[in-house]
Amino acid sequence: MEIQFEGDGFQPPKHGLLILQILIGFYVFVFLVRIWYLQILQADKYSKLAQDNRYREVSLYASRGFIFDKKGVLLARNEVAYALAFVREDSRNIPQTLAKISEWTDIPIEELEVKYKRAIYKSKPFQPVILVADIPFHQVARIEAMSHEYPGIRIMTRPRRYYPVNTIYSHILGYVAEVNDKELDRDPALRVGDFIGKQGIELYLERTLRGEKGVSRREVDASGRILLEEVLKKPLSGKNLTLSVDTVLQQKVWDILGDKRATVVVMNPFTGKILTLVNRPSYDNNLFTRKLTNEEWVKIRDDERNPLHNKAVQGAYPPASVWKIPMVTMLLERGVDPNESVRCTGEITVGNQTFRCWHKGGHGQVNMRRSVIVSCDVYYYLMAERYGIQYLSDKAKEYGFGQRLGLSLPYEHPGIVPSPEWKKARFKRNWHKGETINFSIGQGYTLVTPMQVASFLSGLINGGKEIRPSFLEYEAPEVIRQLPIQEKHRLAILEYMVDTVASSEGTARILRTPGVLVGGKTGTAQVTKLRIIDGRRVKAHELPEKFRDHAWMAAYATKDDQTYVIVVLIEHGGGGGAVAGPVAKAIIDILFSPSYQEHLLSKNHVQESE
Amino acid sequence: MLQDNVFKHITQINWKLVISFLLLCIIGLVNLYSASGVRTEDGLFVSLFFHKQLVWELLSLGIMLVIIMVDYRHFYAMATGIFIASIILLIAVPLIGKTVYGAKRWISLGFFSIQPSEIAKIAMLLMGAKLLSRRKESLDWGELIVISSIASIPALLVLSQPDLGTTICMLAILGGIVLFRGLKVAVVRILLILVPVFLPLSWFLLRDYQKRRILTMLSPERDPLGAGYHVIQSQIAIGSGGMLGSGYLSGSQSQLRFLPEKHTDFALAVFGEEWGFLGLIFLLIVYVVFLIGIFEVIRDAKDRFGSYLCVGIFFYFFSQIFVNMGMVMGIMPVVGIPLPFISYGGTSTVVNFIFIGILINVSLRRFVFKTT
Repeated sequence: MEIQFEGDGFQPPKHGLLILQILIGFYVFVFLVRIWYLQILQADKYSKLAQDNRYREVSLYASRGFIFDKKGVLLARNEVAYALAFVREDSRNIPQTLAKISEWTDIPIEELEVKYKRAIYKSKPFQPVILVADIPFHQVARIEAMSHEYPGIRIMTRPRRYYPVNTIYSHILGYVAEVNDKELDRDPALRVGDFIGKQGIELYLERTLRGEKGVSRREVDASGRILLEEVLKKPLSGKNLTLSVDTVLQQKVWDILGDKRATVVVMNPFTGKILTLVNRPSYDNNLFTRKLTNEEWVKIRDDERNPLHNKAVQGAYPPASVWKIPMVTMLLERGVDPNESVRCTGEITVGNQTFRCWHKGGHGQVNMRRSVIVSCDVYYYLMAERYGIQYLSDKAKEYGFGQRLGLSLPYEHPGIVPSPEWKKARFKRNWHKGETINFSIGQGYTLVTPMQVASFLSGLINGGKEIRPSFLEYEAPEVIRQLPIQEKHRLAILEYMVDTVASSEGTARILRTPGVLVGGKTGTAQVTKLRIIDGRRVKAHELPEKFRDHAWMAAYATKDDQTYVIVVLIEHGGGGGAVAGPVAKAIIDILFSPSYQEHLLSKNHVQESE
Repeated sequence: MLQDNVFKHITQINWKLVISFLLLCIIGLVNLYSASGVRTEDGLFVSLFFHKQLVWELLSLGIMLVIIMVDYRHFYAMATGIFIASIILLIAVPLIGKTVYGAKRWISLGFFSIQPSEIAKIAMLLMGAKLLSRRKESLDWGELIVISSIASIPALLVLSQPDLGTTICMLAILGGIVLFRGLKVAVVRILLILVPVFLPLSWFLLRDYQKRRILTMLSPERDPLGAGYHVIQSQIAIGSGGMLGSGYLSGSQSQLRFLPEKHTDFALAVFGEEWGFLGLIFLLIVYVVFLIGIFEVIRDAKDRFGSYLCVGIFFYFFSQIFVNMGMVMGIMPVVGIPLPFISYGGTSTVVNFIFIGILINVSLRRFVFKTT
């Protein structure tokens, strides 16, 4: 083969050689700087990152505190639940793995993706993040068998909340459920998939119940294989709580209320301890600790009977004639002579408006005592007109109305005590004289919670020292206010309440109980002024339910060394004495029955611990 | 054809090139022993790729000797044939090739497989050097377009496999020779305008994963477990090596297998972790000596074709060294380009040794021209 032979004094182009030299120089410069930067300047940073790679810190779950009732009955404990966690660093194909998890658990892939994205933001690549908080056991077995094909998937066992006594306590205990984004942002100790208190005591005492997660450090290789494990910090269990509630009474009251929409508070006026708080209707709080399906949630949320509502503390109602209890003390404090009597003709006219007494024919001569016994409205109309709204409103606020009690339950309603300034600020309107009249009988703008009524009445009984109502058996009683009411005035209203039960014309006659000193005051809160349907004046029981009156009964009962304050509110129940009365009476009968007394003296259940 | 006794000038060989080349091979093998090592449950250390690589290098050494003996000017005549053959093979790949890691790059010949894209590198070098050495003036538009068109055939075929790394190497070879020979001033002017305009457009030609890699290089934290994982882990490994390194066979990042692909594309990270700053600087110096050695061969070449062959080889090695080191140290996007002599790889070793053989070939035959 002939070979091309050049040999013509070829000289490589100068600029070409220069380009090569520049490239070599550039190469040396770039990598000298980069190597120096990585290995000298940033060496410490990368050494630390290298350590992080080898050592993974893993959370150890703390057991959430148990909850007991006052007799040691277990109300909340923990079960073992299985959670599906995911270590994203170990996964070969994240989208594919997520799709597989979705297939196994029937959770929509979009939901998992959202969770996964949230998790990336909050945790390190090697930390397991919980994607499915609760998986049934049959799925666990299946996933466990397949998980080796999808590295990164872990089945974790962890405690799950369980309420052995559920529905009747839901409004007190509340429930725990998975954290949401807001809660994650607020609390750096939380991780995606954690369960925290969302309602009730579980929410309010979250910090006490939760305990502290432990930390264990594992040395791992890149495939997540654990080479060494050492517990750096043991988990600290949450504290157990003993509530002041009594399950026997709670259950009985629950049964008494039947399917009424009602709330009952029973408390000890001297200690402030709540013995019972029942709301009807209620919900099953165990539903929330397992992952509630969207349908279940919508069903509970949209139920027009509002089972989630804790009426006793979150519900505010016109106090109606129950308001006469504070009214009497206000008048006495203002110097009204209890013996002064006014004439009730069944109505009075203020300006061009007529205000009726609930008793059509009028009560005739009425003094203070009788005004309570027969619940005469006109007496209070006249007195309110005499002293004016400013005095009454200020006094009601001093009694604590219109303010939260500071209970260990969330979302407490403060109630409303109206005044001219309040109305101006709220509605930009002037106060009318007629509104003072309405105020005097606890109608109009005034709203109170059943718990406020119970707390105020307890304060009257406890020498004027109002104690914060408490659900915690071993919490020291805390005086929240000294009611600005003289001793004799306090005793006067308590006496009138007894007369209301004892007197033959008393509106709370139904509460009469042999051997027990009982005082009571009824109330019938008007929900609507509507009394005429289709041109015909209708009787109360003919009204549609949602327009019917709310029935109140505020009572106390004493025998020997036991005193209880009982407040009953039945929504749209009708007349206080007729509807709320029998409920209160049944509760008093139970409280002082020999069997219940025996129960109170019985030994506590052994408190089981974990 | 073998009438010239090339080995009579053996003492005139470019020692910088040869010694740095041998040093690189040794460093590569030593490092590979650690990088592909696995500590078993019993505490034994087994190196999976060390022996394979050793065998490949010995085999390649034989091929290299053959290459040295054939006067490189024969390649001038063979270039067109090899070029056409490589295109035929590349076209055959999608039809009869086998798929590995989602890409079709191999053709099985029964007892062993060949990678036509590797042959295409050699074809591109020979063809490029041949076409460009036919004239000596700076390139004008006509020549540039003709050469670009011819070269784009195998380049596009390889790109479609997809194999971006090899495509970049091929373009580096051709582009390097073009730059070396020089372009007409008018061409340079227009290119200086056109390139900045069309470069952004090429973004839309990239595949999604390639775009992601470029974005990841710009900020690896975007996707620390997806595309950013390699970059972050290799920088951690290198950075944690510090001044003196963690010691041979005891890099925690490497031995605990946090480093991905540590025996191939990311082998340098293992070296960086275990030998530290001093080790990397030493390696950098060896590479620089190696490149200077090639530079001297180019400078001393006595004919255009031989000179251009070496220029193409310079750019071939330079682009690989630069891109791979840049990728491992987080200043270049992740592209599947191995580090010559350090990364494990059978066919790439063969090609590298062939290219070294061509360099030595040109280097030794400069004395053939001495008479003129």
